[in-house]
Amino acid sequence: MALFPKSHFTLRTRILLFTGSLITIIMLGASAIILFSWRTLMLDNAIQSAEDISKAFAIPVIKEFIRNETESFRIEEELGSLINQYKSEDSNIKFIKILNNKNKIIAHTDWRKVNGFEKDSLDLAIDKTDKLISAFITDKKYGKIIETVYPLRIAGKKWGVMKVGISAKRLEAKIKDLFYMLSLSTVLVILGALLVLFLISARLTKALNELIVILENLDLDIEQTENSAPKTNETQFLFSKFEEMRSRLQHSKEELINAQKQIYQAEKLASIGRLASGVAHEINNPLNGIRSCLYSIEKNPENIKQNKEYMELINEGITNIEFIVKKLLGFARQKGESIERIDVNENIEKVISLLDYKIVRKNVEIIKNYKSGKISVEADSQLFQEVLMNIIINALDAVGEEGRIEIVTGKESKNVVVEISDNGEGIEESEIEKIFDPFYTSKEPGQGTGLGLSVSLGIIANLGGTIEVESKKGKGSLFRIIIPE
Amino acid sequence: MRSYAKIFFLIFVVLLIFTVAAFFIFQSITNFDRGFTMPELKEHTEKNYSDTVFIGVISRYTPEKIYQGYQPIMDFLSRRSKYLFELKLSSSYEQTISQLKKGEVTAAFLGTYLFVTNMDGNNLRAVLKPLNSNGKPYFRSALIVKRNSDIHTINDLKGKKLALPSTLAFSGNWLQKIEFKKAGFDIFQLKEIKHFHYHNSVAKQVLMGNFDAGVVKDRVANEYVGKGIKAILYSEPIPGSPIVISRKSDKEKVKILERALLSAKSDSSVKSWDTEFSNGFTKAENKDYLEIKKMILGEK
Repeated sequence: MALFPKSHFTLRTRILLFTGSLITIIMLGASAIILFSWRTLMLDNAIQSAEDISKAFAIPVIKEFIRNETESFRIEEELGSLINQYKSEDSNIKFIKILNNKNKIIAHTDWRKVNGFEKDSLDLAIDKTDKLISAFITDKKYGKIIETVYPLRIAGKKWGVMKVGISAKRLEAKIKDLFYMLSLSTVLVILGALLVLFLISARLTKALNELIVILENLDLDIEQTENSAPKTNETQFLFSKFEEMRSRLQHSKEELINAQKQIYQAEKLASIGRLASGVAHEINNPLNGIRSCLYSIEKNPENIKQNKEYMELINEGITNIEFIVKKLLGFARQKGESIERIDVNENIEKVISLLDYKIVRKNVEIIKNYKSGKISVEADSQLFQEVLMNIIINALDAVGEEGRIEIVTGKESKNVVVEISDNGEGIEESEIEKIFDPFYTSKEPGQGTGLGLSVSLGIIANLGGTIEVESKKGKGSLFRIIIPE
Repeated sequence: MRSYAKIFFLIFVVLLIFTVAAFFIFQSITNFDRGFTMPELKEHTEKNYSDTVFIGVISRYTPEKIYQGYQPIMDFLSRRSKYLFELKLSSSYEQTISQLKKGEVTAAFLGTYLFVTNMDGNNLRAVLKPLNSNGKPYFRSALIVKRNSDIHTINDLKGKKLALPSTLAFSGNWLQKIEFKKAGFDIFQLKEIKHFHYHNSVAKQVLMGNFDAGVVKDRVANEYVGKGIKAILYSEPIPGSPIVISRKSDKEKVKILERALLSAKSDSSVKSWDTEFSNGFTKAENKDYLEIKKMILGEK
């Protein structure tokens, strides 16, 4: 399973899409701002230039009007000559027309329009101002032009109006060039930025992918080799920190295992303690027999035949004690953990035999319902017996005199199941979820450590299994041990 | 594969937006038609004038400068009367005097020298004369030199170059006809003497070092004092350039002209008038000019 869930887009794609979109929007916005600012600047410059041309040309025109006041000549002819000469010197000038105060065209670069009249709202406004005004106009004949309208006036003396049309085609071409240049540079910058982003994201995600691969293959028990370290600078630091964390985890795990072992041993000793009273009883019986035999031998030492029988009884009693001690030692002996395939039914029998005295004393009926044939699991025999011991002792403690404990073994799917049920007092429903908590106990103080079921669950969980519980107060309990085969 | 399809779709959408935006931006930037913005209109009242009154003016300045300085006076007079006052420029002083005599102009701005030399033969009469910045109806001519010049008296002009205004102006004749006589200075002792059309031209020539000394009206001299010029000699007070009428002048129109200009000092428009007249006018009579006439013409 992948360490990280997959989304519709990879991290790299998301970086590219998000950052790429952001760069695109920013670049488009910036380009549009630059474009419109430059355009405004160009238009203002063009207007200014057109107005300057008009103002400059207005000077000789006004001079002509003034000259006309002291010298008699045909002003129309002089102005016509002047404007045509001026127009011929500047190809951008499309037309010049001069209107007198009666709005009659007295000079025009298109001579056919001379003597015509022009009067519109603009001319009326011009009559009342001495300011030059200008506009961008699309004219049917001249195309895009800048038209300036300048009152020919000195102080309150006004001779007429001069209108000049200046081609704006070059301006339009320049604006178009600006648009193309900015569009191209915007596209190039965006593409460049995306390419850089693509390469950076490749480098970044490569490093991350390396780290992911390492994390996926991580085994706390195996030291990482130099070869497995990431090659990129960005993740080398992360990896070294991760390696430190792995070492600490490994150390913690070892400590946990040791602590677990100590708990297991402590619990085992506690179990032995609980076994002790029964063991004492079992040992006491043959010891009493031995004492009786020794007393009889002491009373009548000459009776060889009888003494021989007593000696055999003493021998039998010692053998029984030896057997009991051997079993106890076998349970208490602490061995290193040794996982091997063990017979489940056989281990159950060993535990029952250890608890035999208790079973007999309480007159509890043990019903065995083993699956026929050998069923086995991969486990440590000692630990497995400890689990069984804990659950069966609890069952024995729960049932009253002449109680009943049923042990069923079997297989479910690929698991081995051991069910231990009793008809004891059962567990309160609210208490069931607590019984596997460490130090939980329902027994009198000194009767249990509260670690038995907690340790048992830990042992079975380590084998990849679990322990399930069903219980009803007053009806009894069922413990189901499930272990992978 | 579905991820790739989404990416391509997104790229397509982005390109579509880009293209549409580019199209509209292109349309927007290439359509720069901008109609005329109507100018801020000055206060303007249409007035029906009963007649036009022409006022002559001698070409003491360039025509443009005359219009700049004198047209506001005409506008003021038009506002203050039922007549439309218009300037009538002439190419020579003789033409202006002729226009006066023929009644083609009701009045004319003449220089002091021109008036005193033409008043008797042409039956001209001074009606108004301008006030200077001190409120007096006089001006003075000033002999100017550069600030660091070694010329301190008339006699220092020996071997020097002298710039003068028009021969038709009082300042263009003052030195030769009055001061040189007083100082016993012979005009031929000058290295060079040259007349310029305008007073400002004289001051500029001296300032540029093309001439060692020059004569201008005190008003013009004062303009250049801070620019490296100093005045070493002033004339006696001379009555200012008069507004002159002739026998043919319409008396009613002259009265209106007089009344308006005598009260002009309080009008805000005087600031835009030619500086010679921006302090207003006072009444003038021919006798005011007799003294200067005697001095110039050498009459006893």
